[in-house]
Amino acid sequence: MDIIFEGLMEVLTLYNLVVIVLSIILGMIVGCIPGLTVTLGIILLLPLTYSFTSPSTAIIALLSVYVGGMYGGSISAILLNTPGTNAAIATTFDGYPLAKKGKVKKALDVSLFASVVGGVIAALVLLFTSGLISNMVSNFTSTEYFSLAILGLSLIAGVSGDNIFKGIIGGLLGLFMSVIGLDYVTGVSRFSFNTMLFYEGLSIMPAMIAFIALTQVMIKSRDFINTKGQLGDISKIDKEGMTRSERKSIMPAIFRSTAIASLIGTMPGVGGGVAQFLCYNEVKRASKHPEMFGKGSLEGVAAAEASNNAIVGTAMIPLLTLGIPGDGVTAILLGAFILHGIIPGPTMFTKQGVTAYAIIFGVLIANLLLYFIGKVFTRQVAKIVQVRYSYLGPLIITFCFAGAFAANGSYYEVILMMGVLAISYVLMILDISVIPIMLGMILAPILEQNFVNSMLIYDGDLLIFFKKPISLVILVLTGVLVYSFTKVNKRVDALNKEHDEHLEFTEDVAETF
Amino acid sequence: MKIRTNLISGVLFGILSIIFITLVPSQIAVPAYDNGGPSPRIIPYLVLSGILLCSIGLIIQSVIFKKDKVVVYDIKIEKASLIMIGLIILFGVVMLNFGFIIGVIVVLPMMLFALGEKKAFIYIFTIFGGIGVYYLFIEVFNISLPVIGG
Repeated sequence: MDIIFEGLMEVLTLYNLVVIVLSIILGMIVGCIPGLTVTLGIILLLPLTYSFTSPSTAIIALLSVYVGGMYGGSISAILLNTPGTNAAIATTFDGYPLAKKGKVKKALDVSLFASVVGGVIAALVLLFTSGLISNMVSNFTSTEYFSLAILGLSLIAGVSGDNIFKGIIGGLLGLFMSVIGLDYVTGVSRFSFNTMLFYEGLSIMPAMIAFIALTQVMIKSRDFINTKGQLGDISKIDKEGMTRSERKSIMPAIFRSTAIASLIGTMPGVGGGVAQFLCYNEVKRASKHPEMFGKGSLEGVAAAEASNNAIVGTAMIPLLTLGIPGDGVTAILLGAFILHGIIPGPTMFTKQGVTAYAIIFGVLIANLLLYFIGKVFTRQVAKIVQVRYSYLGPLIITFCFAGAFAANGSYYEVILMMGVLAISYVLMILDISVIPIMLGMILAPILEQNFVNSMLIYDGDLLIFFKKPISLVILVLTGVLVYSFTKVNKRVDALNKEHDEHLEFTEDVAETF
Repeated sequence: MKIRTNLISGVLFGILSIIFITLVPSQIAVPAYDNGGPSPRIIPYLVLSGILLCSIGLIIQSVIFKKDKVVVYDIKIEKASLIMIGLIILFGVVMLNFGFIIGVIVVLPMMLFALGEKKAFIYIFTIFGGIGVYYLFIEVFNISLPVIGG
C-alpha cells in the first residue's frame, strides 16, 4: 500500500503535472494532423525525455502524448473526414456526417467525453489488476521469460495486415538487425564486416526514428508535393455543444465500448485499430437506433472514441506486468522503458514498484486532465489541422536527426539510420509493415538473453520450454492468440469492406439526386 | 510499373537470407573457450532460416496459389519520395561533416524548394525553427549536437 501511495505522490508534483499537460497538448497536435501519428509524437518527444531526472516522468510524458493523441485523432476525423490516427477511423463514420450537418461542436464534445470516460475506466482497471497479475507471475524464471518474449512476438500476427509471411519476415528482420554487433555473452562480433560502422550495431532509437518518423515525413512530403499542398474542406466549429440528455443517452454506448476495448487491450497485438471496429459494430448491434449509424449517430462517435482511449490504459497491463507490448504504440513504449533503464515485467512491481505505480497514476491523471485540456484547447488545436505541412516536415527532420544523435552521440548510428531509411522505403513499396521489425528489435535482447540463460541452466535442453508447465501454457496461449488474430483480422476486414460498400452506395444515391 | 509484392519480397529476402547464411561462418567466430552456453551463431542461423522459409512461403503463395498483392509503382508519384529521401540523407551528411546548423541553413531551404514553397517567410521560419531546435537540445536539454570541426 505504501508503494501505491508513494507512486501517487511521485506524480503529484507541479513539474510532473506541467509535463503531463504539455505532453497531452503535443499528443493532441500530432494526433489531429493527418500523416503525423501518435507513434511519431512519442518518438519526437523521446530524446527530450533524456533530460528528465526521473524515468517515471519520462514515461508519463510519453503516455500523455498517447492519451492526447488518441483524442486528437478524432478532431481531424470529424473536421476533415480524415482520421488523424488509425484508431480514429471509426470516428469518421459518424463524426464527419455530424460535421456536415453543422454539429461539429457536438461531435467534438461527444468525442472528448467518451475519450475521457473510456480512458479513466481503463486506467482504473490497470491500477487494480496490474499488481495482482504481477504477484501471480513474480516467480518466473528465464524459461518463462523466453516464452513471454515469444508471446510478445505473436503480436506480429496482429499487426501484419493481410499477409502473415510478410509480418514474420519483418519480425525476423528486426531480430536479425539486433544481433548485428557485439554478442554480449561471448564478446564475439556478429556481421560487423570488420568495420566500426557495424561493430556497435544499431540501437533502438535511431531505428525507430528511421523506420517510423522519417518514413512518415517522406510519405507525407511525397503526398504534399503530388497534391501541390492542397487541403480538403474543413468544417468550421459551431457553438452548440452536447446537451445533458444527449450525454445520458450515450452512456450505455460508452460503457459497452469501454468494456470490450478494455478486454481487447489486455490481449497482446490487437490494439486500438482493431478494437474500434469491434466496439462500433457491437454498439450498433445493441443500439435502439442502429439505422442512425453512419449518418451522424452520437452513439457511433462515442463507441469509437471510448474504445481507442480505453485501449491506452489496458494495453499497459501486459506491458507492465509481463514485459510484452499490447499494441504497436506500446511496442515503441517498451523501447522507451528500456532506454530509460526501466525493465517492465514481473519484477517491475517488486524492484521498481514506485515507478510502476507512478506510471499507472500518470495514465489516470492524464486521462482526467484530458477533459479540461480538451475543453480549453480543442478549438485552437483544430486550427493546426490547416497548417501547411511544409512548415512542419523540415522541422520534424531536424528533430529526428538531433534525437538520433542524442541517443548515443554516435556518428555511426546516424549513418546507419540513413541506410535504414532507404531500406524502409523498399519495404514500404513491398507492402511490408515496419511495426513487426521494431517489435523484433525491441524483444530480441530479452529473447536472446533468456534463451542463453535457460540453455546454461538446463544444459542446452531445447525442450525445456515445453517441459516447464507455465512456459508450456504461455506457448500454447501464443498459438491460440495467433489463431484468433487471423480470425479477428478477417472479421475487421469484412467490417471495413461492409462500411466502404455502404459509403459507395450512399455517395451513388447522393449523386443520383 | 506493376510490382507483385509477394513474389518480389519472397525472391529478395530468399536471396538475402541465403547470402547471410553462407556468411555466418566467416562473420561470426566461435569463441576460443566454451562457457557452456549456446553458440553465438545459433540465433542468427534460426532467424535467417526463418526468413528463408517465409520467403519460400511467399513465392509459393504467388506462383502456385496465384495469391499476390500487386502494387503500381508510378515513378511520377514516387519521384517526390526519392527526392525527399535524397534530401534527408543529404541533411545527415552535411550535419555530420559540417555541423547541425550548417545542415539547417543549407539543406532545409532545398527541402522547401522541393515542396514547392516560394514565399520568403516560410524559408526564414524554417531556418530559425531549425536553429531553435539546435539550441533547445544544447541549452535546455544539455545534449550536444555536431558542430563545425567535429
